[in-house]
Amino acid sequence: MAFSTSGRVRAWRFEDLNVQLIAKSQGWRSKDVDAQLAKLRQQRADPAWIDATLARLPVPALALLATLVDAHGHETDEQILAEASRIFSIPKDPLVAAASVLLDEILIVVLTSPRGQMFSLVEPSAALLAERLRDVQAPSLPEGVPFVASERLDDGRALLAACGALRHVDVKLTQDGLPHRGAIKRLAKTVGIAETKLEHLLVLGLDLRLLAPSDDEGLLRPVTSRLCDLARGVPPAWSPVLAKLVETLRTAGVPVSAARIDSWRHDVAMVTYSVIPDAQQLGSIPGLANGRCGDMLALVAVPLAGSPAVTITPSFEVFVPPEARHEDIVAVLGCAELVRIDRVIVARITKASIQRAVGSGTTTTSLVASLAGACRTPVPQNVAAAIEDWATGQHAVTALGRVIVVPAADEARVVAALAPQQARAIAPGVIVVRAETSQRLVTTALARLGITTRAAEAQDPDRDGGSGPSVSPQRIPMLATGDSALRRRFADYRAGAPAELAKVAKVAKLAKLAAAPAHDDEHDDEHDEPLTEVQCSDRAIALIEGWEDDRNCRLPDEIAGVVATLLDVIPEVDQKFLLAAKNRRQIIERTTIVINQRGGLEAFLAKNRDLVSRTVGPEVIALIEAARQPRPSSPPPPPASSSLAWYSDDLAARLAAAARASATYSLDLGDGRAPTVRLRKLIERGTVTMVLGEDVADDSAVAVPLHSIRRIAAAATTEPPTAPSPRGPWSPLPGQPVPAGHLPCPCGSGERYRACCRRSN
Amino acid sequence: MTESRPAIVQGDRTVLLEVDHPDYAQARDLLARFAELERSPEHVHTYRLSALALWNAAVMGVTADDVVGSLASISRFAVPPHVEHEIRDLLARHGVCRIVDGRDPSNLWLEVSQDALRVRIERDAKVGKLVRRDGDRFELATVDRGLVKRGLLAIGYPVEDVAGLVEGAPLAVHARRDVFTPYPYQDAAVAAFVVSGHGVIVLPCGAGKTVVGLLAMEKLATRTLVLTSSREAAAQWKRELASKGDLGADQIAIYDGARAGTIGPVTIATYSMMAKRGTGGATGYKHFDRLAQEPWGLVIYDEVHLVPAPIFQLTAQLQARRRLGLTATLVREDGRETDVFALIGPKRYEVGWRTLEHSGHIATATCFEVRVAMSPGRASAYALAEPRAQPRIAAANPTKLAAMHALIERHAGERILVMGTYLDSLKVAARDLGAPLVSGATPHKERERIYNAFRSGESRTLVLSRVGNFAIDLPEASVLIQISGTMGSRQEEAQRLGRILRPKPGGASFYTIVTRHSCEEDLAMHRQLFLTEQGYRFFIEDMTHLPTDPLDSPELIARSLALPDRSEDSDGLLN
Repeated sequence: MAFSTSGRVRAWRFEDLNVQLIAKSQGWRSKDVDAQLAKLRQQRADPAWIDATLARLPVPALALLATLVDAHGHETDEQILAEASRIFSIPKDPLVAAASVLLDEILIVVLTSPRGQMFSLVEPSAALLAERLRDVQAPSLPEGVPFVASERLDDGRALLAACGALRHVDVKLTQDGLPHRGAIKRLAKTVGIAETKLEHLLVLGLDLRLLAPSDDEGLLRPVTSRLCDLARGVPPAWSPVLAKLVETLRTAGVPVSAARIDSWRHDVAMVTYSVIPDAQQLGSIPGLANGRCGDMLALVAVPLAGSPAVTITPSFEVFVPPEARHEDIVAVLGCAELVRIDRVIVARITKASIQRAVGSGTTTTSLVASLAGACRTPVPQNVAAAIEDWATGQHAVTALGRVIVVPAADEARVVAALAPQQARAIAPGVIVVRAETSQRLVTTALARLGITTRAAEAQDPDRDGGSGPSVSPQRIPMLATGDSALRRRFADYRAGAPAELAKVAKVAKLAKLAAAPAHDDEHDDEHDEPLTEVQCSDRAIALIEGWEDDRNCRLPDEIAGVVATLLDVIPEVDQKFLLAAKNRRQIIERTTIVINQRGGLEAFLAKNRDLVSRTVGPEVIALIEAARQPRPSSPPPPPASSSLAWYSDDLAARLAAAARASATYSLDLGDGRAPTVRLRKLIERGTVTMVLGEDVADDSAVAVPLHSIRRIAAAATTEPPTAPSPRGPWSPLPGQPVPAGHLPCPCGSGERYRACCRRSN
Repeated sequence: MTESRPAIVQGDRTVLLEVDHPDYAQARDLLARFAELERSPEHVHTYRLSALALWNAAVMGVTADDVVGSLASISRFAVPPHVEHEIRDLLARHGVCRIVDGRDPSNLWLEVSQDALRVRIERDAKVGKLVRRDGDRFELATVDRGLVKRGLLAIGYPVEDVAGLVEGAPLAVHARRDVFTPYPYQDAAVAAFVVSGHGVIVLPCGAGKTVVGLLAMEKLATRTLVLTSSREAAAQWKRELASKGDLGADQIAIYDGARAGTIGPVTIATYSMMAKRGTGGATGYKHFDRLAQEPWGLVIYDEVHLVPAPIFQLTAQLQARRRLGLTATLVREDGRETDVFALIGPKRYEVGWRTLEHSGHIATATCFEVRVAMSPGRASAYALAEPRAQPRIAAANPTKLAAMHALIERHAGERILVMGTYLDSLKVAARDLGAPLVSGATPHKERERIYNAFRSGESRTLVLSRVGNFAIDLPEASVLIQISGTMGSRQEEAQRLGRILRPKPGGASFYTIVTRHSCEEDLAMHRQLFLTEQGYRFFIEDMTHLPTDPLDSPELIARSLALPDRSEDSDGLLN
């Protein structure tokens, strides 16, 4: 469809507007149409014009626009009217009337689809409208009502503890960009908190970039410097979103700083890819607290307080009571395994935990010092001795054939241990063994001495100066503090302010429409020619809607269009085949099969191209055709900008296109690694956009967060030539489900899929 | 934790109690009624509101409101709602099942007050086979009393056993209070026990558990069977009962199945003897069957943490007798604490090690871990040895003997015990020190002679193998040097410390010598866990400067390794 996407708002493209209809409604003469259109476009991109228009429009129209913005700019008219009526408590009739005003202003258009009439915003005004109207329904905080904080046993400690615990617990990042559920389940059981709560905390940790996948293992590890900053109340320089949020809350006083939580959800999500998916969780961040202002949920900045109150027992248990400083939690969990997140956080110092801490570069002295600094009582001598012991047993050893390099202090021990191998020191810390000594024997002997190699840990992006992804604080909307003129107007309207009511009444057309039925003849006549049309039969649409209702799900418009078309052109038996699908995945899969089985796409399109074109638009046809085309022998051109300060929608779109074509790129991850990856798809799950593909070197799966890509360059393809099949083997589109093995192969060969194209795939 | 109240109730039903808080003592006394002291290291003690602890409290008449109210009064934060719910739920289960006297002595009634539970019992695979429903109650055979109690506990319902107990033949026993005065905690322990007639008393080593047994016999005035872990322990019981009670020598018998006439009004037998199989009895355990016919009114289980599995099975047959369990370390590596609860009885009384140390009833002990180095030859052999051989190589480190000499020199004039696991090194130590060695191979008469010589001061140093771990009473010893241990056994560490805890003016010193850079360091840390959780602190002393033996070559070590492992000597802890 002729949509463009700006941020998260989809809008109808200006150039796809029905010019004749506009000219007719605006009373333009034919010769002036082009000039008027250019002028109109310029006007719609002018913020001043938008502001003036919004000031002029009656509140029901604003409500309608705001609801449409919240629905990402595109939704059925019934849905929009119902939602606007519910959210803004405005009767439906004025809203229907307001809709016609918006149509007149060409701020929205009405489209027809298998799902019915749809409202859509129109670019270029859509983005400006979204900026002004998002969350406009959130009321201002009541003045003079004090902020009452919730009971704060958590106060950010759970977040720090959950993130810190991952130094000693392995949790993988899935391809969806989320922590592995199984690992979360196990960890939740260990530390005694609810699985969902732990998942929320870890996802929040990911969002706030307190956690990062380690380079070599793909395991999530805490970024200690960020945890420390957060725990100490240092402005989080690595996360402008959070920094701005904290700054805003801190600089304003309660109750002004307290804000309606609802008002945060969409804004923050839009700007930062769901950086904070659930505003309620903001209270889990150290320095922020949830509470209430009257009957409204609110958020407030609170000072971080505490004193050294940690207790370490001679039995290696560590107790972090609620009055301990937040930074002490980070210090403790840097070298102790989390046992329980509760009112008192309990951890245990173990040999493995100390070795991990030392492996990440911490020295014994600093370990003991940080623990001592956190404790109210001295660290027991046996614990300190054990830490020193365990830490010194952790040495990096390099074994190169018959040369072993160890710290000089361990030289004598290692020489003794390898005496049967005629080990001798040729320089301080450099030991030579006889030539025929196997590497395994050396490793075993060293392991028995307690000498192992260093463990890897997550790279700290701050340490090497890498700033990672960031987002401009300017894009972060301020808290809904009630200073917006539009918000005041809604309040006035609700209060029955004469000025607002008069504004509604002034619009004569509105008044007339408000009194008339929602779809009177005049209105229908005016819009009797939809801006786009679908030629699917009512029967096909009814079948699809029935299918959707039965399964309580909704097909994507594109798929619904294709299915409807197929239903109109294929025999009854195939209809049953299609509509017997149990879910969206199956219907998409079966649609593909039907297209291929019925003589392939060429035949299908040759017969129905016009119909399909009008139904689903050229983009979908291109999508389907891509499935039939052999893979390109050369990759598409690389993105115009090869340096990524931060990923934009534009780049994401281009990468997505490259992924659809299975193009091969070299991805510079900024840490010395630059794998050559055959792109497969982009997914946006949770808060992270992931680039998925295969490493051409070893065909291993690659999942890279988009924000970690620093540079991108086209790579020479290493694709093998396509199979010698006349059509080439069928391969799934990016994101397209693969049929079950026993189903007919989508390539149309008549064989089962597992016996046909699955082999070549 | 220095806020207004001393305790914090966690969501997992643990209660953390700050020791340095001014209200600590009051909170401790409150918690002792219904919570189990899990760990008591310095600064923070951990209690657990376990099901068993709550049911124990319910037996003593504590209600759910009492528990919740007490927790609220000492807790800095509100009791978590789910914890309160669990407490009420668990306490509500107490009294749901009661065993009462049946129609005749061979039968009992099991009364169940909940309909749903009655159905569940009927369908339960284990309990259902042992009971027969009769209206609102169940009938069971008296011999199945223990099994039913154990089965119901397994499904989460403790049984209130109020059926009559066998009185046993009367026996007048009096403690000789002119010879000794029982400590208050001993009287309190006996008082807690006799209320119900069955249960476990937990006292530290050296706190006088034998006296508790004697006082219980005095209170109940009935014939008594004492089950112990070894023959030495049996002899010690006999000696204690004879010296502190008014029983004549002919009234106290140590049961020896081989000879007739070894059953007396007070009979002492070992667990291993009881667990010996043989024909001719009802259970297939001939000694048990023989002893079970006697009219015992009280059965005492010494070192109840060592009770072997068959004894649990047999104890199920003794449910009509009063049962007293005594231990210092109710830690079972096999997790059969619930069997102890169901078959012998709930914990009736416990005093912490450090508490008695502070009150002067046991010696103040200072614990050290002394680290010594390995010679290059031994380090090489250690590094190349199989993992299972490594502990032995580390334990037999001859540098330990040098450290031992240094420590003995430090404590010149004191009575010193040297203990270990591996006989080879113990023999070398005994030879170097010119001290007697007691091992499993030492005849019992010879053992007694050596012990007496040590008690009298004739010999001031004594080398002991694992036979010395339990139930030997050498109150004069004030220093113990442990040169090797049985892997990571926490129980052994605690019991060995117990050998020197008899109160004495200068306190006691406990040394564990470990080989640096070996698995002994990790094992030692694990062994020390129980004691550190009881509040003991181990100080690390570095003696790696001691010279190593230049003749300690890999060849010699390999040769010694080729010899059979003599650590499992034939002393037989349970013989």
